[in-house]
Amino acid sequence: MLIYLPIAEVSVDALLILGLGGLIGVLSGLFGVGGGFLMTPLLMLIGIPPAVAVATGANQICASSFSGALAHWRRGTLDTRMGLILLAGGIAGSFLGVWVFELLGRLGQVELMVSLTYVLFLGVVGALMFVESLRALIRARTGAAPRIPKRKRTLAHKLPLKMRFPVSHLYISVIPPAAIGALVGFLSAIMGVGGGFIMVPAMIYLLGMPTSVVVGTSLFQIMFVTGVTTLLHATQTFTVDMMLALLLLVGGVVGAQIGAQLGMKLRAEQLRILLALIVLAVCLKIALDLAIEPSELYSLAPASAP
Amino acid sequence: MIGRALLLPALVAALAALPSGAQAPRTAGPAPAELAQEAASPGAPEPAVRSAPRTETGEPPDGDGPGVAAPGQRGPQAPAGGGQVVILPEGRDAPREGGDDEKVVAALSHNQVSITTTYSGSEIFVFGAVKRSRPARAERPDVIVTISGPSGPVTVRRKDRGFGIWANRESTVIDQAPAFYAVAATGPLDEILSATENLRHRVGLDLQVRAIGAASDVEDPESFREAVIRLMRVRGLYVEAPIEVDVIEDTLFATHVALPANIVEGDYIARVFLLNEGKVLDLHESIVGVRKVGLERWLYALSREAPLAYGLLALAVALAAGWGASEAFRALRR
Repeated sequence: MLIYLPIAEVSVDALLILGLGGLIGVLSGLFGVGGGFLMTPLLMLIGIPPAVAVATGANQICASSFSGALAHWRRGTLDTRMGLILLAGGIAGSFLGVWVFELLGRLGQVELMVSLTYVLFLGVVGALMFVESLRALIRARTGAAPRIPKRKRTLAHKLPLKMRFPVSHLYISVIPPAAIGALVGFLSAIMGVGGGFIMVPAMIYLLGMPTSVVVGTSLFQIMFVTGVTTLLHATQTFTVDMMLALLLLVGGVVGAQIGAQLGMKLRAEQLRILLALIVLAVCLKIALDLAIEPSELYSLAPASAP
Repeated sequence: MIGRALLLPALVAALAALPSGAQAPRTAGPAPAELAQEAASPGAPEPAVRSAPRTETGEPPDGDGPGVAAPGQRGPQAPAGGGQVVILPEGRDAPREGGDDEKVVAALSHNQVSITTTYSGSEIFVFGAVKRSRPARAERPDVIVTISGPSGPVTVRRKDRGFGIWANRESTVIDQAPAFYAVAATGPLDEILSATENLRHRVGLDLQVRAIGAASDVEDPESFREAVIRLMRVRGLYVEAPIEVDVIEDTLFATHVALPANIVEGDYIARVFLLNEGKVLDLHESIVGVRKVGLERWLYALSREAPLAYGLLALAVALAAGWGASEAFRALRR
């Protein structure tokens, strides 16, 4: 069934978009990532203009992460206090990111910078997560050392401004989570994504939060970041396509619920190794696009773009 | 679409009636539009009248039909409201050589294309006749039909390799590139149209895409210009050659041009050229208005006129959908 999108000005298959939204939604509910790093390339692949893909992707991710965050909140796996501190840092970081983005725009080569940032961060985060979760999986398989409940004392325990996070069972300084939030906000403004794929491992490995709480808390923060992004795009670039967003989010919210259910059945190590593989795959794809000669060297854009 | 559906039988009836009785088109008799009207079956006289071009006497056939000409108006300057067939005043833009009194009358199946939510492309049927004041010459008349979308500048970027990475390096602006362009003709363009006439009327696709000031910023602007044509062809927005104009009895002609699903809004100009030995004898222009309607129109207008409200609405829809799904699944689980 073909549907004409009023802002993108193209006609697309509604079922394809619904399926795409559903797929991203499942990932979102399962891993606590917004899915922006998958959504934007996939939308462009089916012929949506890049600007519309980025802006509308943000709108859709906002919906699916809200749906996912609600599910986690009801199950008590959302650390609101931690989420708010991440968010405070995130807002500061995204303002800085927008400023840097404009600077890069004036220098040209934004597209290249975005691709390189993607490759760098997806590669590093994916590889770290893969190695760690593989090790954990092998440990669990051999049964040699059952997980030691005692947590490592990280930097977060030493810094001042300590605060109690009952949901995460943590008593740590607020400086590291705020810094992580700021980094994620900064990157999401530059890369046009929610930043879940950076935040989730950061919360697990740097803050020592339990994986079960991490997902809901990440979704909580992403929901706000993408909400602000949607508003910014709607008022400044006019590239939010509500029709496209509606199709994506109908698939997405359903997918997020399925993902949240699936997440309860899978083990934490398996979840992390799956996410690591997906992140690495996307990283490889972007790296290959940069390295291999494209079949069409030319591309068209509206004349107003720099 | 309704207009087209009704029109087709009328035209078919007109064509069918030709060989039996009507020599009329070969003489200075009734204008073909009237012929079509007469020949049309009584069941469908209305659409034939509605879209008939202005007749020789200059009387508009129907005062408020959408396809009626306003005498003296020229196509491109016509008000944009609604799609209306506008006939060129006799003699203007239609160089007639050696007192050859051949003219072209033409009409479109519909002058308004509505982009609805389920729009997936449409087809425009262009038909007409050659009007003569003296017996026809021996050779078959040549006809070219073009339909062009709104034209404007477009940025072209080219990727190049540097430090082992393929990235956009050079870019330039092509000043004039129509959003859609289709050419249909009775034969290959270079055979039926002289180079000078092609230049004058910019019939060929190659002449529609123009770079005026691009020479300065890149070394080979020509390859960027060719890239525009190539990319637009791939998207189905530039169409040439395979579509043909059929000519019946040296007088009537018809063709259809498919508008793809990815067209943009605007006034599309349909041109019908009548040619003889490479020279343009007459030219007929009409406007096809392509407009978003209904929900598409409303959303587009809101996003441009009240972007903050649009953004908030988008957020509200997103949050409502997220909450709705969450509640629905909770209810399912119970």
